[in-house]
Amino acid sequence: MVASGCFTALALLFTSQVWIDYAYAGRPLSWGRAFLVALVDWELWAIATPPVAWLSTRFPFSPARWGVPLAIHLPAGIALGGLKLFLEAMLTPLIVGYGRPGPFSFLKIHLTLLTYWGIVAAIHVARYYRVARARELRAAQLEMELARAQVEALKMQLHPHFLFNTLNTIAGLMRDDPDGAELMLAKLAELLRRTFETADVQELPLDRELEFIEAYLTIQRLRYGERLRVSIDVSDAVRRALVPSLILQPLVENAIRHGVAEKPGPGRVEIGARLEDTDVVITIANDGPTLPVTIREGYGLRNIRSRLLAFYGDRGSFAFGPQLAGGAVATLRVPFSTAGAAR
Amino acid sequence: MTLRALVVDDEPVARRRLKTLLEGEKAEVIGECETGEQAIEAIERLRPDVVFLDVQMPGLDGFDVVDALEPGRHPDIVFVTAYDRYAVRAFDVHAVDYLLKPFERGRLRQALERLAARSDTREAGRRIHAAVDSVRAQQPLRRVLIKTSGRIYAVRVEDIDYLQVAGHYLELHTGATTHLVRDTIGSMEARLDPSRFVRIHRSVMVNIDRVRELQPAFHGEFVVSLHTGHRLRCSRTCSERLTKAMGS
Repeated sequence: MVASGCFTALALLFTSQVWIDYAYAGRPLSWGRAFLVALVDWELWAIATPPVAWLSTRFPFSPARWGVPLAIHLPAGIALGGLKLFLEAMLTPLIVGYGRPGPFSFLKIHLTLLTYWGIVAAIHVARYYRVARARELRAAQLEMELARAQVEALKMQLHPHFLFNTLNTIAGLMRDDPDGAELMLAKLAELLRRTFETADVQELPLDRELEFIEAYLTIQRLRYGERLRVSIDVSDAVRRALVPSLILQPLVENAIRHGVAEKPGPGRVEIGARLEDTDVVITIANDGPTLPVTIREGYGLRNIRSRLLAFYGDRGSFAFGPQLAGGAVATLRVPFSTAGAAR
Repeated sequence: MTLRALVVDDEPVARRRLKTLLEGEKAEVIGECETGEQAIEAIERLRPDVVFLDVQMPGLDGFDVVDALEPGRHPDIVFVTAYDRYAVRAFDVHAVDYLLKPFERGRLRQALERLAARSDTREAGRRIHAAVDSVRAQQPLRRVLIKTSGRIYAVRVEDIDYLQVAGHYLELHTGATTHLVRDTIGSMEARLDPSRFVRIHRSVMVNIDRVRELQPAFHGEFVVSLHTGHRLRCSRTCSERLTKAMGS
């Protein structure tokens, strides 16, 4: 549709050219007929565009790959150009009103080939534009999801229950255990500072992400005392692996909230990370109440899913469900990469 | 006169802090509990003058503890909470005392003075129950308190597959277990989250998260199959309500 419009515009543009050509040849044409001649010339290109577009998509030129496309497009250009010139030579006499159809002139082949390559170039430009737009869109989406994750992290830290209970614990420790109070204040400050710092960092080494979790866990351990038991088992191979920033925190928060805060008696939270083939697999499990058969995914889990999708496509995954031994386990899988390595 | 106080909080540091502060005042801490269950037992056994009761606790929370108490013979209760908009409003409305964490010594002293000045404890108990009831009315039910002859415990509503009338009782089905509660399906329907629980029959409500599928049966009725394998009957009008709730 757009192509046809473009070619009609070109036909209008070239009408004067046709008029002058015929006038110089001593066979002047009316403006109307000159326009029709130009129209036939360019609308034939409009008809030829879909096959050219198909060939260009099927055999695109790129810096790495140009031999095969060239071997396809050179003969295709000559064949399509020839066909077009033949049809033009058949149709034009009908408009002009004299002369006889064909044999057509190969004199116009240069211009014809140039037009063919012009169409190929236009299709390439359109394609690169689309790819660039898609890339921009993905970047914007990643940025948005990060912003959401950050808001979630802040909400967790500024969540009244967490914040006021933490402040209450600090007040409680102040007299009997000033060192504990100091530690708790420092960790609360660290938690807030790191959240602000990751405002525009999409990916972090797992190490850094775990330091953040460690600060959070220190606070929760001071609050719950013996009730909260945490084990962290991270293999050295994945410590430098990049993971989306702030992605673990909502999972650890969930594990504590449902595993310890909702269950009387001691609760266990286990964090593990290891390399499996070329994937980093991170698990966060608790021994809380057994999950119902179906669960409602909250905002935090949906955010994790959409961030993994935006980052890694189908190479990343996230699963959440009950454990055989009771409690729940969340499993994150992301392709292994480190800072500086190309993905 | 020295007040005999019971401290209830699931966080050890929070209990210790309250205990330290109370010991500097005219009060004696006669016990500490870290769960609602322990609190109910300790209140019966120790008969404290006042209970400092944390609202948010795992299992039975502070409000469940109040529910389980006999309205007649009641210790004074000072609620302690980190944050709860609904509760604080209800406490204010019903003139029930509460402490917001973290609180300072002066605020605690004020609460103790108010307790000492109080003459009618029966009236205070009534107000506490009224406050708890009004908090309950403002938000969908989160747990159902089950009282058996042996013990009191809570069932989380998200664990309930379906509810069914059984004489003067309601059966709450959670997996393989059935809990009996003395309540009517109408009053339960009014308190449960309507986006989660749908009345599909005169005597049955179902948790829509557990519904696997609906199949038409005879006479315009439907059979509701649950993920647990249970099958329930449901009328045409109920099926419309159910599909609407499931689709949202």
